[in-house]
Amino acid sequence: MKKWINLSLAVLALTILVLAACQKEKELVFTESNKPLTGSWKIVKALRNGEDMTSRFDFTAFRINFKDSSYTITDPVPFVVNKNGKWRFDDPQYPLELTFQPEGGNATKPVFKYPVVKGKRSLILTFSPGCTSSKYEYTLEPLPQ
Amino acid sequence: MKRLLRKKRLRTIFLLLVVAIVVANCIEIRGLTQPTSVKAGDTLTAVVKAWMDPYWSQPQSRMVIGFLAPRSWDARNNMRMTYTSGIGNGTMSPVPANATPKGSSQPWSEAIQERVGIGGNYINDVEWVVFQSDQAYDMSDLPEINAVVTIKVKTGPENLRVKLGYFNASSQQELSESKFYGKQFSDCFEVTDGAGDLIDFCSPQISAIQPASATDNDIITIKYDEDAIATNLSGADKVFICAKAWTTNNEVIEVCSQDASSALVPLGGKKWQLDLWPRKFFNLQDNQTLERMEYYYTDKTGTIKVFKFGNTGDPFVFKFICR
Repeated sequence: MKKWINLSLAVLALTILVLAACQKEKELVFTESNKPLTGSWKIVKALRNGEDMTSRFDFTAFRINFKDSSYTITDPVPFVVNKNGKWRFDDPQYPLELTFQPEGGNATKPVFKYPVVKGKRSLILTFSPGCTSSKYEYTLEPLPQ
Repeated sequence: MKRLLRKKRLRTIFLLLVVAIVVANCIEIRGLTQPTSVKAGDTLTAVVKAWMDPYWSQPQSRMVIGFLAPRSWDARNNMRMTYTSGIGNGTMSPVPANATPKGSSQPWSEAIQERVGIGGNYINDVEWVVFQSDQAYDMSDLPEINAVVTIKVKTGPENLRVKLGYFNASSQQELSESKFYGKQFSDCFEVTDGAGDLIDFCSPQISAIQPASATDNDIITIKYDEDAIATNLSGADKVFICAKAWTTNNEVIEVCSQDASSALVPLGGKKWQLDLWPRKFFNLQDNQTLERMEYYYTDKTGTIKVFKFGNTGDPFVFKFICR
């Protein structure tokens, strides 16, 4: 009798093990977070045709402040746009295009990168504010909120 | 004694061999043919003899040729390159914008500029434009390659004198040492019968503006070299700019205040520069656009003035035009 009980328990344990092993694992779904620009940004590096202008021209006071869909510029420098206006990403999760729509002006789409460097989000914009033969590359960092 | 001498001689020969192997170049430019001048807008044809001794492993390698030209030529879009060589003949195209030399994070043009500079040009308004062979070759352990590269580039509209630059390399070889690339700069090449005053990249300039093509919404760099001509301002401890600008509506705006905004920064070696944004410098309104400006240099009192010919002459002129 005891033998039967032991055998039954063993079969039961085995069944539970087999069933548990066959249970489908919960799928982990990773969702790419939105990439908000919200906040105030400053210029930390500026190149003109590859030449470093950061310490040669006063970029220190320039700020661009992004809100949900609008932006404002203070202490302007040669930039993608000279006036306040609207901005948008083509896709908030996987942005490939950044559009500036200044008030009363034409929409502009600078070449942009949005990397995380040393844990900090940066915005790198390449554009020509004057002649197209001159390319400017600004690296912006957000100010602590 | 004889044996000792023989031993010493052998050691010397061995050392010389080691030095020869270490110093020997692997890639060189071994000849350059180009005219001394062409007319503005005409095509300049240059022939470069690019030599390579690819004794190392280089599978799927492309020949890379760099050309230093005035930025206003837009050589990337106005140049054609072809080559003939023992391993094949073909055409070349601009390297992709994000392409870098092997093992480097810099784009090709920046990597070349860092290594070989801009030759003897005094105005830094030139750019390295880089092409590569459309076909890739397995260049591993091949005998020497002597390629003849023909470069045809349309010159820009301005009168100028410039030292053109040529560079060769392989896409599968790091630019870690100078023996892995070739370079050559030409004598002064001249573009004639074009528009505007002569832009002379070859000679020291008492005054120059970079970029040479700019609007009032660019950052422009005004360069003053007091070594070019001796003037009453030579040796001054401070140099300022006095400028007068004309808008497209013929309004005239003058800035001549000898304050921080118009003070040039000393660079050492009697050279000075000022980076400014014309829209801010001349305090332009939204509806104002600059057409040209005239300027001269002064001391802090504003009484000593430097013009085109030094103490005399007309003011310097800069036109806000994109060429």
